[in-house]
Amino acid sequence: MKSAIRYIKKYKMQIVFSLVLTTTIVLTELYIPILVASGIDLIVGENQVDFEEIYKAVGNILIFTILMFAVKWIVNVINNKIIVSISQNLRNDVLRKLQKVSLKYIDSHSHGEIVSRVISDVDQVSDGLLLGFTQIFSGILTIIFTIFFMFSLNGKMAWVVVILSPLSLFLAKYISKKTYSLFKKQSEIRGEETGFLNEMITNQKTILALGEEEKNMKKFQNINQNLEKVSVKALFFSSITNPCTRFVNNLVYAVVTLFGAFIAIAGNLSVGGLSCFLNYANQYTKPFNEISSVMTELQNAMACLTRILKIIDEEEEIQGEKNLRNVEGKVVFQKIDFGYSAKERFIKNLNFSIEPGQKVAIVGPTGCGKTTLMNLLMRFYDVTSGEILIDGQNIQEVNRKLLRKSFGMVLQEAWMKNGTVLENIKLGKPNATQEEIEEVAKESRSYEMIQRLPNGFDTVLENNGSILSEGEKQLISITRILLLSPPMLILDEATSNIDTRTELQIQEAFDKLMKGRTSFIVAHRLSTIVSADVILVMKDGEVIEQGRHEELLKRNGFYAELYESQFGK
Amino acid sequence: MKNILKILKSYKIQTILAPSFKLLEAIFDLLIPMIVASIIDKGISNADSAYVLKMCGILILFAIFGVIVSMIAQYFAAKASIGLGSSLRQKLFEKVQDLSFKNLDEIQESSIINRISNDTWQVQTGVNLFLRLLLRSPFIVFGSLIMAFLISVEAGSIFAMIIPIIIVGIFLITKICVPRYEKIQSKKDAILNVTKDTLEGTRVIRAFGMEDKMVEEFEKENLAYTNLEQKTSKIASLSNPLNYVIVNLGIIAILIVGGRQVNFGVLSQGQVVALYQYMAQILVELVKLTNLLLLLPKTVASAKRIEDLLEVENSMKNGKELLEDEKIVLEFENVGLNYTAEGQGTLKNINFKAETGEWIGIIGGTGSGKSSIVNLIPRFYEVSSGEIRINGKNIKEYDWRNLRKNIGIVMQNKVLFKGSIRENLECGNGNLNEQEIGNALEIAQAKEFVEKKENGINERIEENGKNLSGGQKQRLTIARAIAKNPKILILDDSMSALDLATDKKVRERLKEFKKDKLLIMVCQRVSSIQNLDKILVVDNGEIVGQGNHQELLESCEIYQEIYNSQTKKEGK
Repeated sequence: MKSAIRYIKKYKMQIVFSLVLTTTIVLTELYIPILVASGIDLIVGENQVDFEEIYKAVGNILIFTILMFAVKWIVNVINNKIIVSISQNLRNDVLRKLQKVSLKYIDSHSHGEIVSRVISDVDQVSDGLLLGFTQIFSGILTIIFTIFFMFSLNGKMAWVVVILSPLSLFLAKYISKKTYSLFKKQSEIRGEETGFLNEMITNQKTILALGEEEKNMKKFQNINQNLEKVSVKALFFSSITNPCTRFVNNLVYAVVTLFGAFIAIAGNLSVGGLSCFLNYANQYTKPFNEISSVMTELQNAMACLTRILKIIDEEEEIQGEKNLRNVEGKVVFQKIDFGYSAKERFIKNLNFSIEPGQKVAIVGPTGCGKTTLMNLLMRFYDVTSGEILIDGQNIQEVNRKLLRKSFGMVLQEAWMKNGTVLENIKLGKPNATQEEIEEVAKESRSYEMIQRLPNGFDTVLENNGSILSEGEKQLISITRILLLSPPMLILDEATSNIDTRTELQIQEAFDKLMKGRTSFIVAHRLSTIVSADVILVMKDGEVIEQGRHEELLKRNGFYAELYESQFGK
Repeated sequence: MKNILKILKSYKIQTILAPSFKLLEAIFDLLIPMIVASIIDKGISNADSAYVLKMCGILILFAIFGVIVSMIAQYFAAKASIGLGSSLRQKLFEKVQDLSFKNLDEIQESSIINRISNDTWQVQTGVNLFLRLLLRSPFIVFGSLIMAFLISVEAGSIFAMIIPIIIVGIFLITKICVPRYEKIQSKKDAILNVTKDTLEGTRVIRAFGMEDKMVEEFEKENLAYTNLEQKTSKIASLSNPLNYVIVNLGIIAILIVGGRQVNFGVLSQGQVVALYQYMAQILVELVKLTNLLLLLPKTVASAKRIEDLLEVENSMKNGKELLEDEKIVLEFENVGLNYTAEGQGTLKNINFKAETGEWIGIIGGTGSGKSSIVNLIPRFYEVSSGEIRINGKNIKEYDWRNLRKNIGIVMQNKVLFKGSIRENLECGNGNLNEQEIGNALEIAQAKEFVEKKENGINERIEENGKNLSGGQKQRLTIARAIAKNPKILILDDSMSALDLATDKKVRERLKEFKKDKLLIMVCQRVSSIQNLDKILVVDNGEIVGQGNHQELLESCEIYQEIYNSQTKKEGK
């Protein structure tokens, strides 16, 4: 709640102003019918019309009407300004936070859900919260003033309206309670249907390949027919709310007319007064209805806000302060323990030491912890215990940004930002010149591939570079790194989707880049492994063998076994 | 709107009855002010209590009729609109089942899903509201006009002036705002894209230290969105106050004109009250109508997107022949292929022949066209030139569902569905006995880990196989293709997630499996295919060499290069 207030606080003045204006609106809106009633009372019958007074009343109506126009519009504009500004701030804050939370947070939360926080939840909050607040405010005012005006016109009539009108509210409440379970069921089945659709449409090609079309249509039909049955009921029962409340209102209207007419016959109410009452009787229930519907919206908005604030108040990664300059590249892992969840101990007592400039190949079966090693080096995740030292400095104390910048990283799943190819290459070095970029592109063999794209370097990539193949994306991310030429390298299956011939061609560029730079390479290509200075053989989160290719082969252990299975005949 | 109208036609009775009953209700609503007027003029001025009672009785009667009639209308409206939505979803889903790979490449998945799960609801809601309100509101508005004319021509002409002014006002504001709403939507998409980028690219963003740049980019898009939204709302929020003013001006006019006519004795006080009530009613209905009209473009846009998808034609024509022979002879003759999708390889002049009992390997670089060749066999894509024959017949002559039943293809993406392991294996081959399942799992080297699962083959697989490792998923997709017992089995680079030992074991088991099948394996590793009967070397969309390992090593330069690149420093 506290953090919610900090978003509203900024707009305190506007909100107060808006509320003051809303009060004016409510008062005027209720006062105009009284003016009209007084006008009607002046029109009694043939030759009994007091035109002078009528013009006076009409003049007043005109003034108030014009006032209303201005005030109503201004309130709308102010409210909207507050709403969109709060949305804007919320969105910016969420996104800023996303850059700072731990990788664990991002890896362990569904991206779709986070996106819907930023997009739809924020809208719900600002709409629901603020509009809800002003509507409740004006609703309560309307009720109070209506009662006041009615009693000042005629006490007996006022009692009739005050007692009878809320009847429709109870009816509406009763119906909405009944329909709630239907809507819940509808949203459940709808969720099921959307889930099925998502899974099947995403994999439609597999469905076609397996020839499962007919079976799928039947499955979908089943869900869809269930949905239809529930939906018809839910929609019907919810849509009789209006006729039912209107029915009650019409009854009230008839009763008010009846009472009003008798009181008028007795001479205690004017005709204008009666018409004014009829008007109020029609409008009196409206704020009640509005308030009850706004209440649910408010609850919903609060729920959304809580979800958003949960992101905004999420803990940030501790940046670390120490500098990391002129990296030589000595890397030491000392008694490292690590698990992705608190319970699990995935990496156990990992120890190794790498000299500056060494080329380190990491091999091992799937799931042995190769990628985790990279995550720890980049401090995407922090170790549970033990120390990772770079040039003798514990990386836990080093500024994360500086640490990350000292590595050039290429991952198996290359990521392309929305933007042009050029922008994608320049990611780490925004001020690189065109010549520089073309040069590294040639070196990494991506130049020709890029030239073949519809607009060359200016081709716009969307949806994670969907027009490129995985291999092409990897080529571009390699180009990125070449452009940066950082002091250390991490290549996690960086060429896994590039064919061996092209890889061989890039090799030269890679060799040049790796020269004198500490490099960590996860690869399954033999040539890469054989030429490494150190091979770390990993299994189940541990380094079980370490050494050069020939040494390891001679040892005839796990490495030799791996080697045999791939390259032996 | 062809398809939507066609479906609505099957709900003809409901779509006609719903608004008709709504109209009946509106008539009752229109008569009420007249009754009240007569109560004032006859009942109150003559102090006639009996008349007042009678008239109030009529009001109550009207209320009862009104609620009955409108409930019937709501029922028909619900029935018709939900029926429409439901049929549309079914139709769309069936349409998708009928699309070709090329169609699927062209239409994005997310947009298909959106159309089925969101647009149909939008149309459903829209149609429901229209059936209920679209006729009612104008009817009350014009009904009020007519009633006003019945009371007095002068008063009627006030209505005749006010109504068009309001309608033009609403129309203008709507016209200005609707295109802006579309722009707002696209700005919102931009915000969404940056958010998605942030999440998907976190590692790269942080590795390059470009967090601030992402924030900056987001703030820019967010600002643009906010500004446009604010500007638009300034115009949109004019509509309500404007209507209020106009109606109040109408009331003023009624007071003046009414007063004058009452003074002449042409009109009664009660009739002036009735006119006032009509004017107030118009305001309420027009506000409803405006909201409805704002919904209209949204509904129409959704309807259009639905129609667009329904009208997509499958780019291929189905054949009729059934493939029933046991033995398969597959021939590619001068096959060429041009994808329209960018960034993908094309094929030129592909020629080869393969038959049951053979094991063919296809090797080549990234984007060389290996996958494209095998994708042509189950007719996922249509050849652009030349022809592919199976047992002498062009594959275009076969019914493609039948053709695909005969082909098992394991694709690179390891797709499994939510459901048990058993259900997943039965995709493609409805009823498998225990032995067939066991056999398929065994060949794919999946038996061991499946048996370790608590529920064995009945273990639930979560969406996208989240609870399995990459290697496990891949083995199950291989097992699924084997369980299908196809005449042609194609493995499209589908051992990539297996460790090398397992890869080898699978290949060994496949050797026994192949005697009555044609096996085709796409691969990047020479070691995996060097023992096969025939190897096709693909480069740049062409076959540059074909033969066995030894022959290719001697004759094919590209093959030598690939071979060397994988074994060069091995020292052998």
